Amino acid sequence: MSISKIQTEFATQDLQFISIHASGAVIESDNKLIQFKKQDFLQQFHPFFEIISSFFEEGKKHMSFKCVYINGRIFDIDIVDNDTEKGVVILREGTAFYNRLQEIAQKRNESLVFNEVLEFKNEILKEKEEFKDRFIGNFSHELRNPLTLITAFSSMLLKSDLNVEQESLIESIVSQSHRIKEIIDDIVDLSILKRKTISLEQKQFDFYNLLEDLRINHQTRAQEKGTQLLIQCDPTVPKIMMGDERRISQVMSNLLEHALHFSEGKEVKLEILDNQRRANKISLTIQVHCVTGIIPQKFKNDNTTIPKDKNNINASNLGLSITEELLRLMDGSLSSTSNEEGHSLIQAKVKLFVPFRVSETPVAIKKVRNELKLSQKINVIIAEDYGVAQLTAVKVLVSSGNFATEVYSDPKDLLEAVQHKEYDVILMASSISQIDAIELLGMIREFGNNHNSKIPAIALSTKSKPEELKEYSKAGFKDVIKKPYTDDEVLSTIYKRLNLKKFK
Amino acid sequence: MISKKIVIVGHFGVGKSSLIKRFVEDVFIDDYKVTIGVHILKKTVKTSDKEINLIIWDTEGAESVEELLPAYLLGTHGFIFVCDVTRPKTFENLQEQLDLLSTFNKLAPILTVGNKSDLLPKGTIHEAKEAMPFLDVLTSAKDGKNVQRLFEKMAKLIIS
Ligand SMILES: Nc1nc2c(ncn2[C@@H]2O[C@H](COP(=O)(O)OP(=O)(O)OP(=O)(O)O)[C@@H](O)[C@H]2O)c(=O)[nH]1
Ligand SMILES: [Mg+2]
Repeated sequence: MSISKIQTEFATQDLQFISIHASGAVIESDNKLIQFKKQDFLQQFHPFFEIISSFFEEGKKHMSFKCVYINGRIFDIDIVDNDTEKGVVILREGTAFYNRLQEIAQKRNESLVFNEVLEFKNEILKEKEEFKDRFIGNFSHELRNPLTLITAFSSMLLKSDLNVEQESLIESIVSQSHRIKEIIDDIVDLSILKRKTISLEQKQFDFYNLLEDLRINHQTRAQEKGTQLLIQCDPTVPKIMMGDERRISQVMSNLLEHALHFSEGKEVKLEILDNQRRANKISLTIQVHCVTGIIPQKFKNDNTTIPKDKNNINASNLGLSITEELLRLMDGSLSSTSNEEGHSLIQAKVKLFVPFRVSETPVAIKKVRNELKLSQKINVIIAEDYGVAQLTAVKVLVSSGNFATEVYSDPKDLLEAVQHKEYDVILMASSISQIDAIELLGMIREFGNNHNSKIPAIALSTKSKPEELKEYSKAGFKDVIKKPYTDDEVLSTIYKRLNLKKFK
Repeated sequence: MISKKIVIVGHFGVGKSSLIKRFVEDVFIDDYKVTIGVHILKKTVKTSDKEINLIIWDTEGAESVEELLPAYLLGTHGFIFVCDVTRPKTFENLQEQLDLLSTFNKLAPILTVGNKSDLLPKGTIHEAKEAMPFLDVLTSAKDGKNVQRLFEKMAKLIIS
């Protein structure tokens, strides 16, 4: 074979030349790749060739197409003008090459699309979370004002002359409104915990003191139910440990609450077991047994961990959901077992640290001044635009006999008052007629007369998240009283924040 | 019978091939087979009085029309720009893309399509339409919603 023959053979191996008429009819074809007969219409073979008509209509000289699928094979196709009303179609087969390319594109696109969808889903989740937080915020805000009135007034009523029957009625109101307050706090807590914005403390604390506090706090509740409360702690559990004392106390308290709530038996027992110790790490099991007639629905037929169905949270096991979230944050876990007779055991596993060196911790002193009688009245402004809340604050203050109150629900009137009169303290709701308390305090500082520009301010807030409370102190509020409050809380906070010598 | 060239463009994975498969063969395949280059299919549609052959060019997915070979787009009678309603990225710079398409044939009508409407939460179709006013049609290649109508609408636009 001559070299030129070999040359053309190899150069045209994957090529086919078809000369055509402008109508798409085949004039001549070398049929190296696809078999055509003279007078076949290419567009009948495959719709790609419909392009031929516009090629001639638009008077093109040359068009080049890459990677065109024709009946299961893949070609690069050129159309070249050749004489009037005639042309040449050149097919170059690239099936193997393009199939390889397709595999690469497949991998790339799949991961790109996957990431985009994921991104979008996260976006939606975030929006939902934000909506939920706003909803919970509003909902707790709406509940706190009426609840404040109930707690404060019933606590005041209890101090008046009542017969036994009346007293027990009011006591139930007090305890039930306390329960509602706990539920609201729990709901807000849970929404924070879920977002994990909460931070844990790592401080030294006295575990035995904590157990003692726990016993005192739940004793009364147990007595009311006719149940005996037992707290047992392995003697090997160290007295001083490191961790988030408040959260651990919350965990134990929730377990006890839960056990007390469902217990109809003679005793409720909280046990603390020392599992193991490695270096300065200690792992504890905190468990409650309850002898109960009722098994909470959530735990029926459940021998493993708490089910993940969070849609079904009701008030009584809301506490447990919170406990579970808290433990999760502390790398612990919560599980429960129950048997046919309704005996159940709830176990919390938690890891704490044992400090190498025990440092002296100052003891916190709690002081409450109650039956205080002042000879001079304290002039207080109540800035609050919500009727029920105004009434509550006024009644609580006036009934102590120590206050002269003025209520403002319009920021304009309030600003006028601080220009002309002198006051001793201001109690301010989170917002008054759309103006935020923090902003309003700034305006009082700016526009009030000399005396009032330094007036101590106390916020009466329906907010309860730590970062929100921090905002108040940053803005210059001396203290924050969280709604719902009791009469004693309001009075003692005001007394604490004022120089009382002036009024004696 | 007259033949008209329609080109379908849009980001990868928005369902271009699936829409055509639904229209031409009335089937849907859940697996994603990435298109490279172009696939050309044909289907005859009947508008009020005429029958026309739609020659449908299914192009490979691209983030911009600029990435496509100009030869694919030449001599086009109508463009369909497909987005995926669950992926905002696929309609981020829509207007710019439509302008680019117009440069190939100023007279060719363009329909913008939001595909995968079946993935929208139930009862939010109306909301979605309001949120994405730049879309002409919401379709689902999966359940076939509006697919036929889309191509018929295009056919009508082309012959009028
Ligand atoms: N749920 C749903 N999925 C769809 C729909 N249309 C397409 N899909 C899926 O989306 C994926 C991509 O579909 P294709 O039709 O291949 O997308 P394409 O736009 O042709 O993709 P490229 O060729 O890469 O540009 C496949 O897994 C399809 O099953 C739809 O209407 N609803
Ligand atoms: Mg495709």
